[in-house]
Amino acid sequence: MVPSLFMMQRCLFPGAIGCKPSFILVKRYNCSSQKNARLQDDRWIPTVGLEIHAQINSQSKLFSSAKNQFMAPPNSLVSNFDASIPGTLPVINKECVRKAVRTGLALNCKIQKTSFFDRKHYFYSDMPQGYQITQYKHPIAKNGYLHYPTADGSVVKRVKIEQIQLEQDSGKSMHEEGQVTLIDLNRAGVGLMEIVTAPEVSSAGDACAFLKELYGILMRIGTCDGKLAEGQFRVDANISIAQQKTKLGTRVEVKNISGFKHIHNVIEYEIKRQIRIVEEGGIVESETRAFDYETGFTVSMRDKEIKQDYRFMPEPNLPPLHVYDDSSVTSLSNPSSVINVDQERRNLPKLPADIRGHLIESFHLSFVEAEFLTNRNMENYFIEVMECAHNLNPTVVWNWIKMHVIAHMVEYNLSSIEECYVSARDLAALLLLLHNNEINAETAHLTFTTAIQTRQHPDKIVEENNWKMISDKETVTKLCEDAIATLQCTDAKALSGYDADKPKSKASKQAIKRVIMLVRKNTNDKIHTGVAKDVTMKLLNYKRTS
Amino acid sequence: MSSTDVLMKPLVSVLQMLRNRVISTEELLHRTYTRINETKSLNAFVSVVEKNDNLEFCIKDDRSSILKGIPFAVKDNFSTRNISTTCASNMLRNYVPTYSATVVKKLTDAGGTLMGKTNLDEFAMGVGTVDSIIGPTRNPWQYDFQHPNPDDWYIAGGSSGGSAVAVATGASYFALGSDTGGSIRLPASFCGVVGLKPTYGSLSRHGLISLVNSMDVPGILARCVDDVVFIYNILSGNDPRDSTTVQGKVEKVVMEENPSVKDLVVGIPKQYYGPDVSPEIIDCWKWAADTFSNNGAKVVEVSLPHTQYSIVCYHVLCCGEVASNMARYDGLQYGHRSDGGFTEEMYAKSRNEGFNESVRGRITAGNYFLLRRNYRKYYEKAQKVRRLIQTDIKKVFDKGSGKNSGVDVLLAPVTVSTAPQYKTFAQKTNSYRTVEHDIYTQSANMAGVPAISVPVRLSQAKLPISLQLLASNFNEGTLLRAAKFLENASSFQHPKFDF
Repeated sequence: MVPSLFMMQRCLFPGAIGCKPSFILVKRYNCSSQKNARLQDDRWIPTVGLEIHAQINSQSKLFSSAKNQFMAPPNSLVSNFDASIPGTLPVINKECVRKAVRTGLALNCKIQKTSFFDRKHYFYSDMPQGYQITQYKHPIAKNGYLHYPTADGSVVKRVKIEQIQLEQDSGKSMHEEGQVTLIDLNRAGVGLMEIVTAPEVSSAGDACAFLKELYGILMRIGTCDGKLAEGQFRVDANISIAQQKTKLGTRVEVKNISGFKHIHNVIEYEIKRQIRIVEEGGIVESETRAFDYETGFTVSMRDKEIKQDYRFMPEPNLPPLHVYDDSSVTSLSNPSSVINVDQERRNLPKLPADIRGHLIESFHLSFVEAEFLTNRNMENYFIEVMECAHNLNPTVVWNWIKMHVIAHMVEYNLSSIEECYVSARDLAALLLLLHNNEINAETAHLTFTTAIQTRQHPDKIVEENNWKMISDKETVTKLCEDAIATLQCTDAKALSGYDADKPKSKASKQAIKRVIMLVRKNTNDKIHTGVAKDVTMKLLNYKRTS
Repeated sequence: MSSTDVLMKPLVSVLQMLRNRVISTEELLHRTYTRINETKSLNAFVSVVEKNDNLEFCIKDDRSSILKGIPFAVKDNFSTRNISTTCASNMLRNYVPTYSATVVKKLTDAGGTLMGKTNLDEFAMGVGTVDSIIGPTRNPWQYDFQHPNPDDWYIAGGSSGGSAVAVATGASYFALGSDTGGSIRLPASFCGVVGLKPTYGSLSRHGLISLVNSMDVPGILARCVDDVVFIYNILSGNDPRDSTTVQGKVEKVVMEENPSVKDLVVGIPKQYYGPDVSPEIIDCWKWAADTFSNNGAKVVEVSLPHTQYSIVCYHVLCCGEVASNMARYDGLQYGHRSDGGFTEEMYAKSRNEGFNESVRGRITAGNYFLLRRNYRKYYEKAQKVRRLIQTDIKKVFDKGSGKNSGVDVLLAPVTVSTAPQYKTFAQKTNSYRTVEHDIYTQSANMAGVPAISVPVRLSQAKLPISLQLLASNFNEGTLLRAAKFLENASSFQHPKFDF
């Protein structure tokens, strides 16, 4: 019923998202070339507040039954309500409420037993109602906080979460060449959680560290898919500078930034821009700016004269949103039909900080190593490998998971470890073979790839291919003695260069190499060269001293 | 018009006739189409469903259905699948919905035949059914069908005037209207039919094009209380598509032939006595109070102290919601769209051409009330006053909390006068008319309580005088019982119009 694309004239809003604001003069504040830039910057205290729009990964939209899905044909996921067809009414999607509650709990918020929806009015072509349904005055979650580690994990900081509100996403406008704008309403009405922090972050680095921690939590509790390129995790940053900590400067809002690197750049750029303005005697204006991904600048978005007054009013078509707890749910006739906050709390998985803590404490991994596993949901795999083979070195196991298992998953675009056919038990077996010198690193890698292809157990692969190496000390000693004896008879010079005092000299190495080569030849390459090398050295030392 | 006009019979007896094959559905439809044609000059319908479409439908229709093909009409602000829904506005002149409102669907599913879409004030903003793109609807009372005078006729009342006229003339057995501040009760009273504004939330608003979401209620216009009860029982109940509808089951209303009012306490709101009310209406009101009293009801005077603020409060809340609800009409997805210009220019032009002055005025006022700097002063204050009005009414109905309480129904006028003449009415502005005519009806919308307009007698000018009854939330049973009693006691008769 909805035409495939709504067409309209090119929009006039200067700097609207997607429009290249070519008519706005951009002055670049290139601070890196300024001498003493660092010194000057240090006199200023930047303050950053963040608003994160995280798309809820629910099956259907926040207030309609249309599917929530990326990359569907334009306007194929649009219900009458999403297109603001007259007479249609919003019906709250319980799944979205549940996910907002989970998010609130994970961010230590107070979940509001009763929350309300409001209308926020502004005309924009991809927002067909002429208003957005949001939670302005009484959001579902309030007064939380999040502890986040700085980039290297050395310090843990805290940011206050002001509130989490449920709201509708807008559609998308595509400004085509020529005078036409195309509108796709597939995204219109998808549920968003707007997570608002207090202005407590003081650098781009901290902002990114906080956002990464938040992102990890949302992934972990499964409330947002977090695909950055699809705009599922978008950030507005409110940035100001001041000379004293107690007083905040005029804030500038930069809207709609996706990607941690971009966020970092935007905040850095904006701080420097504001410092430059003030130091040149200017005044920072309160305004909304957009980030230009191509140039890396921020540019003014809205004409100051048409400053938005959103004319908030309560949404009359939605009754108050109630959630319950263990004690209040008992009074209901059908408790399973409502959201029980206590139940959601019990269902929350372990959060990234706890997981990292466990990995660091129990396995002595570094912060970076622990973070790496946690961010990729690989901690259980790692722990299982360690449980199967206690005497393995955790760092060796971590390294193997990173260099082989995850590399493989990335190469084949696998989303979970279940799709990689090497179980933790199998990997443990493989690493034990390596640990016990039954195979060398090269064979281990070959065994791993074979295991993926054939789904066979590493022990079986090594055995069937006869890849097991001769590494037991007695046999190796015997083989090396034989080789040395042979060489002494056939080519006495071969070993004459060995110097027990300088085992690492070129001549010594050459001598060892000759012995090993012969052993390899005699054993059809089945010798564990590492073991053989040690043994040969000892034998040659002994021979010299005796 | 024949002396035994089947089109003017009560629903229940026509259903009996259809069941006994005294008359066929086809015959009934033919006659209804003829009636619609005869009364065309009243301008009750914005659009009429093609006769062949309906005949085809009624032949296919299962005779065992509840409504057996009974003709009905729907105000043109209810969405009807594949049938244009204009809201009597240029904005939606060519708009055809792809879905039907829940209440419309319930009626067609029950076997009713939709005859057409009835006239209203644009987007239901008005009290006269005069501000419409198809022109005003005329009241059949004292209307000279043979020699119609273009200026000398009575207005139908609004905004559901088309529905009231369709029912009054027999062009439909019943009709759907919407009531936001009195839009069903007022035209019902002017046209001498029964008009029920049910409890907010008892009938689904899904598909009703919004005026004021927090006060809009779909309602029923019919010629007698029994017919209203019959249709109410089909329509009431929860709708998952409207989150503000009642949770759980709504009890069906069961009506006796001659209901007693012995157990009822009838409240007379003293603030409703006003110098502006016509003496004929005051007289009728007194008679009704006496009649209740004489038949065993306890009649008491009650106070609704905040009634006087109702009009101003309504105006602010209404405009605020109107400004918001109308924001969607930007000409992009549907509705009127002007050519050329950049986006904002196109919006402005489309909206300017699409809405009439009254709608534009309310949008402007509403946006003003909602501005950040004005919100507390107007909108928030109006919400607080609304709560006071609600509390007044709640208190009156509350059993066992003191003197000014324990009332079962309130008895009040519907409006200050009988239907005014068009030439007098047209001289006043839309907003002035609203203030004048919605004064006794708005409180019910503010509080959400059910209310009904019942025709009682004729004025000296031979125009219907009706009275209003109000009850507490979801107490339609008591309300309709009192209405039926009043109907039985009154001398009102549906006229034989001289088509």
